[in-house]
Amino acid sequence: MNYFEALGKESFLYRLDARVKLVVLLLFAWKIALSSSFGEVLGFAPFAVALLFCLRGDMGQIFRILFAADAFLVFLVISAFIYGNISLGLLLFLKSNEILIISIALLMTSEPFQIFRAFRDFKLPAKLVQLFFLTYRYIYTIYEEYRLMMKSAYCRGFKPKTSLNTYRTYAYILANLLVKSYFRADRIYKAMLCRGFKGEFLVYRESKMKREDYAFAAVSFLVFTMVELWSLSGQKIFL
Amino acid sequence: MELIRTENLSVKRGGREVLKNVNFFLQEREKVFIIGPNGSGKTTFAETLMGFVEFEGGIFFKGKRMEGEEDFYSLRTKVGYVFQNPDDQLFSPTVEEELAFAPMNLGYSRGKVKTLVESALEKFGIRHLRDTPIYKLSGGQKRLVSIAAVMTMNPEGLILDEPTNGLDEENFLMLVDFLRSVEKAVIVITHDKNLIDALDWKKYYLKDGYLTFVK
Ligand SMILES: Nc1ncnc2c1ncn2[C@@H]1O[C@H](COP(=O)(O)OP(=O)(O)OP(=O)(O)O)[C@@H](O)[C@H]1O
Ligand SMILES: [Mg+2]
Repeated sequence: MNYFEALGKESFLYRLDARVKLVVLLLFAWKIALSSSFGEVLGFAPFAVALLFCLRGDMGQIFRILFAADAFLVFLVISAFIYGNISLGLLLFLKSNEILIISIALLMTSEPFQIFRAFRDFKLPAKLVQLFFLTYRYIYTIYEEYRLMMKSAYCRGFKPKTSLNTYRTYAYILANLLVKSYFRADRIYKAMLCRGFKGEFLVYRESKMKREDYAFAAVSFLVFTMVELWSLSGQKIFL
Repeated sequence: MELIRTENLSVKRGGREVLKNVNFFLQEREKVFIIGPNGSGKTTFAETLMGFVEFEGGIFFKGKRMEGEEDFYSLRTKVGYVFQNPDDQLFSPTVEEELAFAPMNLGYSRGKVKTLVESALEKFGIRHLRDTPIYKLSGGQKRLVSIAAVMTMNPEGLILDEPTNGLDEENFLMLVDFLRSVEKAVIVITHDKNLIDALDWKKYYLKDGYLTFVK
């Protein structure tokens, strides 16, 4: 299992520019999060569902993510129910799931570094973006190193118990991880210096907006406007 | 023309003298091996040449004495250093970005960067890995990428620390071929008997801090 894999590599969502996806996500998430009308929130539902269909990814995985979030949300709905405000509970539930689905469809279909690049293009502070990126890049490496050390411990008869020996082993592994990370960081920095690094990360393959990206942005915006107009015009068919 | 020279180079690490009065000399386009037992200071020697370790004595690049960070900055971009462990060297999101890192830093034009990247992808047979994230590469693939990533700098010299580690037969032969044909000065640090036999190069032996010429 790889936790850093983008979803839906066959869908057009994967090929879209991360910047467009981020903007669309922010627009919808902002509107849905702030909305208190059932009609409006439901109006956005077809968009979320359509994205989910476009994703054509591993539905099992997507539902596992939704399920994990909903397991928590259920308590919110229950407490809302207890306090006699079931419609508020349901609204919250609906809003959260919509935002989650749109996030999965738009965010998790990008490679993480494309998202970092989009951050950079949106003029987030360069240092912050580099920090994000390097953290992301090395979490995996550090995690691998941790697993390697655990394997090596298991290969030599280590069994986790509630004993002093177990705690000591974990402490050694943790200490090793810290020291290793420190030295690794030091050498990586040297490697960067060896290749002419002067403090600024330059990106080779700049992403260009394609016709697909403009089309997606336009369609999303159209949907957004339509839902807004429809809900403003006061057609309250629900509740 | 001389490329790199050291004069009575001494290095202390952890209170121990790892290198003692090393006098080393490398001509332009000269190719040499540095061999020696584990812990004898081979990697330390390479790191000292790149300006990462405090030293006594002198390091000269093309006759110019290396005095400070500025000098080493330019030396580093002219002598490509391939680390002993590729995981220490690769940090970009994809193979392509990794190869483009150095030439972009050197401020080359986009066209030139592209040419350099493409030719390195071709030369090391890693074109199919272009978009692969670094963390997904196998050990041997990382090795190839780490060599390719300094070649795109178009350096005048190369220092490779144990470059055959983790390479299979096919890639080993490709590396031998590359080392034989590359028109640059090369220092290869290795224990690999096969590599030493495959290339009839000058050999230096490092032991107990002393560097001696073997053949
Ligand atoms: N960062 C460091 N701090 C202190 N001592 C170090 C450091 N790095 C290496 N040493 C010491 O310097 C000596 C030479 O190490 P070096 O890594 O240069 O050996 P090497 O010849 O490259 O060995 P190998 O063949 O195992 O790669 C060793 O005794 C080592 O313990
Ligand atoms: Mg070494």
